[in-house]
Order: sequence, then structure tokens, then C-alpha cells
Amino acid sequence: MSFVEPKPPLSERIAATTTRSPQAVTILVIPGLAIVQEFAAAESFATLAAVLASGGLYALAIWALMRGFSDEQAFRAAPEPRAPLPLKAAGVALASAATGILAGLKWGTPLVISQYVIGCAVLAALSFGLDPYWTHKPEAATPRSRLEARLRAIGQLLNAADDQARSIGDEQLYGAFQTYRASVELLIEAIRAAPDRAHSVKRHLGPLLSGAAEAGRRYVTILRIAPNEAARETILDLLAKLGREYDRAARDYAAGDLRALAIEADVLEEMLGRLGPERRDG
Amino acid sequence: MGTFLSILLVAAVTLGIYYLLARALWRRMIAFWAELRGWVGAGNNVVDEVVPRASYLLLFFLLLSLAL
Repeated sequence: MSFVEPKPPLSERIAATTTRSPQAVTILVIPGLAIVQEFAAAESFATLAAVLASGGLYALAIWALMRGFSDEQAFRAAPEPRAPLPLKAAGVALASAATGILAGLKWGTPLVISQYVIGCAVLAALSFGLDPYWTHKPEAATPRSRLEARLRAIGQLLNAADDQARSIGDEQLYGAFQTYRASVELLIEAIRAAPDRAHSVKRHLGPLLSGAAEAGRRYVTILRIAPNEAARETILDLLAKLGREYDRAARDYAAGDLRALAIEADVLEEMLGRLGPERRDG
Repeated sequence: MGTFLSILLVAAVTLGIYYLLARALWRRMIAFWAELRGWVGAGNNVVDEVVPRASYLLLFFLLLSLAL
């Protein structure tokens, strides 16, 4: 029996260590040491004022960057056109100015000051990134673009589930998951090929697509948390069944047989609903 | 003879430990490599992830040089 926690998939590990997060802004407290030193060593009011200005600018930079990150998250969740201030860019500029003042207090030569300001601006902009609403102007959402965004989100969820399935290291389960995934992707491709049909079966397609991504992810998670033979068998069986149903749904959709698809969708929806909650506790 | 045997024993044990360490590292590397290829295959870009981290490290040293 192993007590070693299974390693989270790569995409999660990467997301957990990104520098594009509010936590990463804490790096700007490092110059606080220099500020305390210069504050203690100040010999004139002008120096003291410069030290305080530098400290204030760093504080403002931290605030602006944190706000910038939360604005960015909101923008990525719902890319609606709006005109917020470019807070991340402002944060980077403020931090560079504060670094320039501090470098001036320590060394005083214009060359060194410029090196610090340029270095800080470039490195901070590359680390934290700039405001997305500044660089990408969002287009107004159309039903087609919403459908495409949804299909892309399902693709991402399936990728995450794929990483998880691979990290378990069970060849047979991974194979079964791949087959299931191929079936779901078949349906996605069929929808992409004829997006106009999606509207008429919208009621069925919605739960079907969210179920597709969720089911794969959920069942693979069960095996990571509680690996046992019975659960494994059930999940292998289930993935095969779901895969067949999605294959059939993709065929119906591609053939334009929307009535058959509606029945198919009902069966799948019922299957996902029936098997979902009892597995969720696993 | 006794000295020779003990040297041989120590060498064998050391080499054995090195072998086990190298094998463990190799297995981890292969697993990571496969995972990374899958991640890249899913449409991600390694450069997009490496550049911010490298810049962050350099920014850390820049601010540290200011602080010390």
C-alpha cells in the first residue's frame, strides 16, 4: 500500500507555479530591505522624502498589479468590451519608477539608474504580462462564437482529464479513455462542420457536451483518489458505453438526423445523470 | 587480500547506489518527457511558460541586488 500522494497532472502543476498570478507580486517587497536601510541612513529631508516616495510607489505598484490581475481574471471569464485602466502596465511603470528612485539613492549615477529602470520594466512586464483588454479587443459574442468557445472549453477539460488519465499509469484505462475521448471529439467535429444545426438541438446538445467533458474528468479523478479493481472495471465499462453513445450521436448529427439525435441525447443525458451522483462520492 | 575485498565491496555498493539513483532519475525523466509532449501536443507552448519564469528569476536578482 502506498502512502505517496499521486502527482497532479502537468497542466495543474504549471498553473500552480505561474508568475501570472497576484501571489507573484509579492516579489516587490524585496526592495523593502533597501528602503529600511536608506530610511535609517538618511541624512537630509530630501533623502527621507525620496525614500518615502519610493516606498509609496512600490505600495501603489503592488496594489495596481493585484487589481490588474483580478480585472484580467474577470475579463478572461467574460470577455465583454469595457474600458478599464491598464492597471498592470501602470503597476509595472510604478515599480520601475520606485526602483529608479532607490537606485538613485544608493548609487546616484544616471547610467545605473537607467539600467535599473529599464531592467525592472522589461523583466516585470515579461513576468507579469500586460493587460489583455489592452492588447486584444474583444469581438461581440455571437451564437456561433459562443458555441465555438464552449467546444474549445470542452477540449481543454478533456486535455486536463487526459493528463490525469496518463498520470495514473494504467495502460488499459488510458486506452479506454482515449477511445472515449475520440468519440466525444467526433461529435465536436460534427458540430464544427455544421454549426447551424446546433441551434435546433440546443436543448439536448448543452447537457450532452458538458456531460462529455465532466464524465471523463470525474471518472479518472475517482481512480486517482481511490484506486481499486471494482471501480476500475466499472469505469472501463462506462467509458466504453459512453464512447459508443457519443459515436452514435456524432453520426446522427453529421447525417442531419436531428430526431434520432434528440433521442440519443436523452439516453446519454439519462445515463450521465444516473451514473454521475453515485460516482461523485467515490 | 582483505583490503582488496573491502575496497571491492565498497565500490560495488557505491556503484549499486549510483545505478539505483540513475535508474530512478531516468524513469522520472522519461515519464516527465512523455507528459510534456502530451501537454505540447494539446496546443500549449513551452516558450510562453519559460519566459515569464526566467524573467521573474532575473527580476528577483535585480531587486535583491538593490536590497543588499
